[in-house]
Amino acid sequence: MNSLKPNSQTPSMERPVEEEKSVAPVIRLFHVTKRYGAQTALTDVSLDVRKNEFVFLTGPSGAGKSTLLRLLYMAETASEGQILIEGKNLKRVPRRKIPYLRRTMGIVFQDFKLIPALTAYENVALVLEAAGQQPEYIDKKVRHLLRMVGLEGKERSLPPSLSGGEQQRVAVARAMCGEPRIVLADEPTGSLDTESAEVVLSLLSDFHSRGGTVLVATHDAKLIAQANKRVVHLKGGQITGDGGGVAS
Amino acid sequence: MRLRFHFRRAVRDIRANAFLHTLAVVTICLVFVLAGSFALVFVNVRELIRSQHENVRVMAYLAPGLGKDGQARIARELGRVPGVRSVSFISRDQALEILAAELDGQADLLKGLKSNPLPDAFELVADAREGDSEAMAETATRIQAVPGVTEVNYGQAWLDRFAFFIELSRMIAIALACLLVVASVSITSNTIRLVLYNRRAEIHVMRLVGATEMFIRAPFYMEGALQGLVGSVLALGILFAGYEGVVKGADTGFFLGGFTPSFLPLSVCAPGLLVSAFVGWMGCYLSFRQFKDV
Repeated sequence: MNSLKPNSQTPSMERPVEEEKSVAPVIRLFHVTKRYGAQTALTDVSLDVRKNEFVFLTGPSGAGKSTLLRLLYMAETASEGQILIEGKNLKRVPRRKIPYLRRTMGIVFQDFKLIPALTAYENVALVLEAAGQQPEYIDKKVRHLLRMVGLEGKERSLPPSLSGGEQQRVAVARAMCGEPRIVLADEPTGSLDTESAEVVLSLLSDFHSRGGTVLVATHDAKLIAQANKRVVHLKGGQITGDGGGVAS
Repeated sequence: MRLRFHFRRAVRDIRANAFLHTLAVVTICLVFVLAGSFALVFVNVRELIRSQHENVRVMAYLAPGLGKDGQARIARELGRVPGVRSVSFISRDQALEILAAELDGQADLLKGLKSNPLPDAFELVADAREGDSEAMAETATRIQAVPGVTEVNYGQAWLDRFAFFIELSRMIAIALACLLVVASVSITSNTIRLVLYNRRAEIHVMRLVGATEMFIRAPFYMEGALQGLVGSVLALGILFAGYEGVVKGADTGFFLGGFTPSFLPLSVCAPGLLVSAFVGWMGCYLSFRQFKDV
C-alpha cells in the first residue's frame, strides 16, 4: 500500500526526472457508476491511467467528465465500482485521511477556485501551510512557482485584480506546489483566451515532462489537437472511445 | 500545532469580519456584565451577613448548687468543645441585673419576685461556620452533654434562616450562570455560523487543497475563544468602574454599618475569564457541528 503522504519520489518542479513509463496504472476505475438520485452521471466506466501519462477526457457537456474527476479527488463517492489511486482503494480511505490523499494531487478548476481575500502568494502558500511546511521552505517554493508561471511581481495581487489567465496560472502554481504526483484539471482553459489557454497547457505539459501524471477534462478540441495526447471520449456517462489523436 | 500561525489567521479573520465580531463581543460583554453584577452583589451580601453574624452567642444554663469548683470544671470542659471561642460566667444575680436593665422602665415587674428564678449560666461565643446550622447544632449538642449544663440556647431560628438565604442565593447564582453561559454560547455560535456562511467557498477550497479539518477550524476556535475572553475582560472593566463609582461615590460604610463592599476576588475573576474563553470555543464548536458541509 502506498502512503498517502508525499514522499521523496514526488515529481519535483525543480528536479526534472527522466521520462519513465511504468506499466502500473496510477489511476484505475473498475466498472464505476455514479448516480444522483434517479439520474445516472456515469455508467460502468473502467479506465486505467498509467504513471506519467497525459490523458484528455473529452465529450459534450453532461458527458460525466467533471463527475469522473470529482470521484478521483473524493468530492463524491462512486455508487458502484472501485477506484484506485496509486493502488489505494478510495472506498477504504477514511474521511480523516482524505486531506492527505488530496495532497498527492493537484487540482485545477475552470473557475480557478482562488480565495479572493488572499493574495496570489497566499493562495499558493495555503497548500504548503496546510501540509505543515516550514515558512522558509514555503517562501522559497511559492516564489519559485510564481516566477515559473510568469507571475513574478504579482505576489501581492488579489485574485480579482488579476486577469482570467493570470488567475488560472496562480491556480496551476497552487496545484503544483505540493509536489503532487497527479494533476487533475477540470476545463482548465474553459474561461480563458487562446493565448492564456496555451500558457496553461504548456505548464501542464511541463509538469508531465517532469514525470507527473495529468488528467484533463475538456471539450476544447483545439487544445486536444495541439497537445496530441491520449484522448478518452465520454458520452452519456459512458466511455465511447479511447486512443491518441484529435477529439471528435 | 502552530499556534502563532493560526493566531495570525484568526486575527486576520477578525479584521475581515470586524463588525460581526464586535457585535458578538459587545453582546457577550453585556451578558457578562449582568452575570458579574449578580456575582458582585451575591459575594458582598454574603460577606455582609457573615460579618454581622460571625459569632453566635450561646447560653448554657447550669443546674443549681454546683459550687465554685463545679462551675470551674464546667468552664474548662466548655472551653474544650470544638467551635467555642470564649466562655464567660454569668451568675444568676448578674443575669437578674441584666434582665432588669433590658426591661428598662418596666423593671418594677421584677420587684414582686420572692426569689431570683434565673439559673447560673455560661455565655459562650461559638464560630457560626458560615451559617452552617447543622454544625452549630452539633456544637450545641456537645455543650448540652457537659455534666451540669441543663439547657442550651443559641438562636437556631435565625441561623436556619441565614443558612437558607445563603443556599438560595447559591442556587440562584448557579441557575443564572448556566442561563448566561447558554446565552453566550448561542451568541458566539451564531456569529461564527454567519462567518462560516460568508466563507463557505473559501473553506471548500481549503478542503480541496488538502487542508485538514483541524487546520480549517483552528482559527475559528481561536476567534470564538477570543470573543469570549475579550467580552468578559470588557465586562470586568465595566464592573470595576461601576464598583469604584458606587463605593467611592457613596458612603457605603455609613449605610452598611461599617461594611465596605469589595470587588470580585481573583478566585471568581480568573475562573470567569477561563469560562468565557471556553464558552466562546464551545459556540464555535457547535457552529461547526451544525455546519458540517460548509
